[in-house]
Amino acid sequence: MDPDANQLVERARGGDRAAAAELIGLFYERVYAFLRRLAANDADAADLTQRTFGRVWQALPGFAGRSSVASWLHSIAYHVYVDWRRADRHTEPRSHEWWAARPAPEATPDEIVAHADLASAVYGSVDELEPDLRHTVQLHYYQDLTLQETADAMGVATSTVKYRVRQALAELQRKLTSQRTSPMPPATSRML
Amino acid sequence: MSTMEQEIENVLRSAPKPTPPTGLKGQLIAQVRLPAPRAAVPPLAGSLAPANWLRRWWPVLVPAAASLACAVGLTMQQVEIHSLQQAIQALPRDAGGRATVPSAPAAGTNDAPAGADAADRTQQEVGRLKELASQLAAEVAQLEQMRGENAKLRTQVAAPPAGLLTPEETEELAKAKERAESIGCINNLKQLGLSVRVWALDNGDMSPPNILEMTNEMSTPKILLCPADHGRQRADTFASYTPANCSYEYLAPSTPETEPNRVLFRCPIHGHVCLSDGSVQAEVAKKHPDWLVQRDGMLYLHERVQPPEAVPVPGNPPPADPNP
Repeated sequence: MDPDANQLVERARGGDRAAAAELIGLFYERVYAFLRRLAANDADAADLTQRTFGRVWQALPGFAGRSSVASWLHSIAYHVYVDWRRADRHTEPRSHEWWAARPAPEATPDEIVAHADLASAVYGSVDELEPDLRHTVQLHYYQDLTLQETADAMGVATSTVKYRVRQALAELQRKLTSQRTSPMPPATSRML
Repeated sequence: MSTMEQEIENVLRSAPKPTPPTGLKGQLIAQVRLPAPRAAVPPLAGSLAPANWLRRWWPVLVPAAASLACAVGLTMQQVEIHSLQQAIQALPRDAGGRATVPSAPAAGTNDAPAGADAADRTQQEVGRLKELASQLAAEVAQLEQMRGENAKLRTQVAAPPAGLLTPEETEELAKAKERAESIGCINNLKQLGLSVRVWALDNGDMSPPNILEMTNEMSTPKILLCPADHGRQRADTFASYTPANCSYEYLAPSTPETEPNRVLFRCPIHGHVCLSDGSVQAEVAKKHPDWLVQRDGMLYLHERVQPPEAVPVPGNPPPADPNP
């Protein structure tokens, strides 16, 4: 994906609107999904996506190609989200129910039934993580970025991302273990 | 990685993707505001164009270029130094060659007047050098004589003959020397008494069990040797100190400092005694031995001492009378 994306960026820098449209088509879903998870709100996510791409066009001449286009876009999206949250003083969104209401579309009903409780608990626990850990998990697992790309997007070292991933997994494991010991109403019942 | 972590990772990777609302893509495309294309747009890093390559590698290239320039400069300097050394080595040979050049035709032509002149000059030079050598030999002999006289004078100064002083003067000199040694001995005892008092202040008003215990309170081990005691050697440091380096008798080890007329130290040569209160009584043991009384294994100055030789010690009162 990235070699094509690099060519698209280079063409867009030369003023090619078609390349810019292709670039949007290539990445806007991922950017929206990332911002949707961060903002926990459809309207805010769409607004932030538009702001992100607006800033992408401004930053286009400065893109040196040292990182991948995906990590560059996610970095811009992440900073747009941080600026938005600071400027409008939004609180950290915590959306338990969103995950329960939106199971993976490709999953079969049996898989949904089998994994619904675990998935709901995992996603809910992710939402309860500290912001740095949560954003790392979202970029690395939800957005399918590599550790290097995640580090580029967040502006930290790769070793920091590795540490945060390990810490997040340990924290999730601890939370799930404690939830299993203290019985909670299953997510399937909440879905129903 | 544990099974549960693996399971969590799988769940995280298969998380549902939020789908963007319809029409968002169209809005984004409509909002595209591309910057005006510049004449020379820097290409991306992957394209490895020269300008970008230079921008990427300049932090390495600049030190490398500086190092290369330094290396070139050093090499040029070395070459120059080498050439200068060769030139310097060649100089004596040239000078030698030039020096032999004028003599060669003289030898070759067998010019008689020139040869005679040269021989005369050589003879004159030899004569002058011989004269100079004789002068130097005379000066050396004179210096040797002066050195001998100096040595003789030194020995005379170091040990003046007895004939130079009258017997009265010699006696006075000996007395003055004895008196100076006695005063030095009193000074030593005064310092020892002060050291004992300082030690006692820090140790419950008890005198030290031996002299070595109060080395911290003493300024130097020199004060342990009476100036008139020529049979002992002075210890330079407390590390090398032995009882053989001490002239004085320590008579009151580990006793309370409650009785001021107890004798702490006694000089067996001069008879000076140092009392517990820090005062020093001169020549008591020699001139008034009856004033010293032994009681319970200790020596006390029994009578109130006001001898004419008593040394007034500023700041220290005379020993108190135990029986007023």
